[in-house]
Amino acid sequence: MALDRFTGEHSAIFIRSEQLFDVARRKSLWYMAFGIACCSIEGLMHASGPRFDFDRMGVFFRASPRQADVMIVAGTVNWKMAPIVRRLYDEMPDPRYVVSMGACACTGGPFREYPNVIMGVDKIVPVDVYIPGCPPRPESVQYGFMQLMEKIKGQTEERLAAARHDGR
Amino acid sequence: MQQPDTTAVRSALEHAGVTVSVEEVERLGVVCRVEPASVRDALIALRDWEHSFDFQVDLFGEDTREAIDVVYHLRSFSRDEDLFVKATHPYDSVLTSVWDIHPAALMPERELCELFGLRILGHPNPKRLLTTDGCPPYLRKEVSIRTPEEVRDRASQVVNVAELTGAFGSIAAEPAPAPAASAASAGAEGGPAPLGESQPLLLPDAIKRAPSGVDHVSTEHLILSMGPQHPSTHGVLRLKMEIDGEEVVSTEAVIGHLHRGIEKLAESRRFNAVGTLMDRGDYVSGIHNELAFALATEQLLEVDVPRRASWLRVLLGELNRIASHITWYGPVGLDTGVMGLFLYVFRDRESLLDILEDITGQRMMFNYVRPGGVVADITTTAEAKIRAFLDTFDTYMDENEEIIMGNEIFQARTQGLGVLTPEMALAFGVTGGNLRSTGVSWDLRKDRPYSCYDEFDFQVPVAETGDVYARCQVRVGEMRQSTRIIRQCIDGLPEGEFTAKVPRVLRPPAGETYAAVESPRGELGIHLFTDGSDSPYRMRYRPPAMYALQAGETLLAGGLIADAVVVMGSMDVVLGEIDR
Repeated sequence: MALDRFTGEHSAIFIRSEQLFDVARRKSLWYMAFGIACCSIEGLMHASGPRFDFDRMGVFFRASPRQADVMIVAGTVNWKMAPIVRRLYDEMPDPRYVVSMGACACTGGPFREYPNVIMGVDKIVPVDVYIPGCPPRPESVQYGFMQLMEKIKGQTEERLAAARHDGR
Repeated sequence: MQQPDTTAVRSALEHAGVTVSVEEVERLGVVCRVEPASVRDALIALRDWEHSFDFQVDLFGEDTREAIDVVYHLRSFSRDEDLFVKATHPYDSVLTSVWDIHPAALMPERELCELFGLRILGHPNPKRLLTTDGCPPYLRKEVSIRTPEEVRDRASQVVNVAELTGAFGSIAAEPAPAPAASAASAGAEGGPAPLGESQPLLLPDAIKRAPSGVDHVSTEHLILSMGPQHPSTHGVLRLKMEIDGEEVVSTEAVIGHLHRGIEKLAESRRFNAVGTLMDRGDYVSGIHNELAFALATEQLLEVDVPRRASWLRVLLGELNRIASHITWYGPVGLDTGVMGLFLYVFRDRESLLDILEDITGQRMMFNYVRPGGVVADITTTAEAKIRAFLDTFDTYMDENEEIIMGNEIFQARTQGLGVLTPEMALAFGVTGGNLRSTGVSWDLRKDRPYSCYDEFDFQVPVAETGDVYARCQVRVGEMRQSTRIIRQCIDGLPEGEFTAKVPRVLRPPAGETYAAVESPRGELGIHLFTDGSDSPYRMRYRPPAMYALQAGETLLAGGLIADAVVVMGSMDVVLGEIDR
């Protein structure tokens, strides 16, 4: 018990070491190569293609969810796809992030009237960044990733605030 | 294209003992109405007739509010004629499978039965194709889509995540027996086969190929599931393979992970707005999708499209064709281990998308071709960009071809692999580059010219062997021909209007028509039913890639697992189009 005060989730050692890891995390956000629909051409193929060159931001694709940090949900999710999306999310190791790319993944997009389509992937998995557009341009995806990096940066502040609240 | 002789068709069918009423429907062609019980006899008679209607273009249904019309679209290549056979089935009745007459019916029949709530008899694999268990027959008129209130209130939809993961546990077993199956009772039709998990999966024995089994070691067969998350399945395709060691015994493609109801939603969209849905169908060749729908609408409206608009359609279509083939070309390199090619061809695709964006305003979802013409004229900057692209692309093509097609390793890997015979391709309804790789020269741009294609000078690349290498040769050749067409377009673009005078709200007269274009994947057809209102009554989207996928399933049997990726990749399937 006593050790928890020094290494537990609200300890200074934990928070400061996580802060260090966060630097590494946001410099190497590896996404899972999992394109569902149209957005995958723009968000996965073109963004990592020669012009937009995602690699320079440390963003690179991994074929397996076990090796990935980020899942880009790039397309419409329907009832047949939903269990698979959820399972892939469950297979990813912590910490994991979800980027909901495009109108379909955010709200159901142009197909939201069809009852087989799920109105937004946030019904199934927690989403960190929403990228609007149909499809979003590769620049938008890169901007979305920069927002995700900012979010990871802010995690230290959140942890500190939680520790302070807990201490009181 | 000619129309078949109605009296000859009638006498041929009556000779076979089929009661038939043959009529010539305006703007569509010759339609034979037969009783559901005699559909099989009619199809056999038409196939074995000297006019040989032996190619099934499409099979789909239509809800007439009284019954379900099942339409068999047949074609005779020898006479260049199309024929429609229609049978009226009451709701919830039994459809008799015709897959042994036309194997092309395998997947469309499953789709038809689940989306219209029919039961099926005599199908080797009667499972749901696109939807999951419990889904209503969406394409029936009585099944409505979400209301605007439901759509606005996103919170109204609650998904139980725990149930989802539970549902996933059973995904290795097929989610649901078709409504056809579960509801089928042993009736007068001879008792439908019991269905579900006990049924051996996959294709019928006639198509199943046993592995070579050289060493006579008896091994147990494994079921291997590839996809829907797999880096090389080109979308959300799931291949369920029965394997013996390394050899594939049989394959079943599980699709429907991207089923978004484009056909259903089109019934609630105005004619001008359906283009947005069509773009998202086959998302790498949006212009061709829009064009198919625009042509169908124009046939009903009887609008004359200005020559400049047709030329612009050709120009954009060919630019889009190259862009589409590039999305196939790069990943084929990835599948065979040539990473560099992906980077080279995507550089070219970026400049193509720049041009398309300049003209249409979007990189992917153009919504450029509308009924009556196109939405905007070509810009002066686009013309310069196209010329700059043409100047470099031919050199780049030579380089790319050296990297992959001239590569000895690639040749050794792909030659003689996944051989598609012309007979098999025609039986499964394969069109486009996959058909041309088997030596059958059939290109709608040449054989049934639409949109001023007859004014251009180009060749149709045809290969003989039908293997993966031949499919690559055909597509690479097509890219080169497309640059020729683009050059002619840009040099001789006629003056004039870019759109005809059409009303803002289109109300085509009630009728029925079929329009097809040669998309990068094959014959993309739109069969449009109208009732005089401002939105289609029923729109059938013929997905060429679905027919290619059916053939691909059988190609994998007898091969190795490692080759499955390459063979499937070379077929160029786009799941957005297959699932719709």
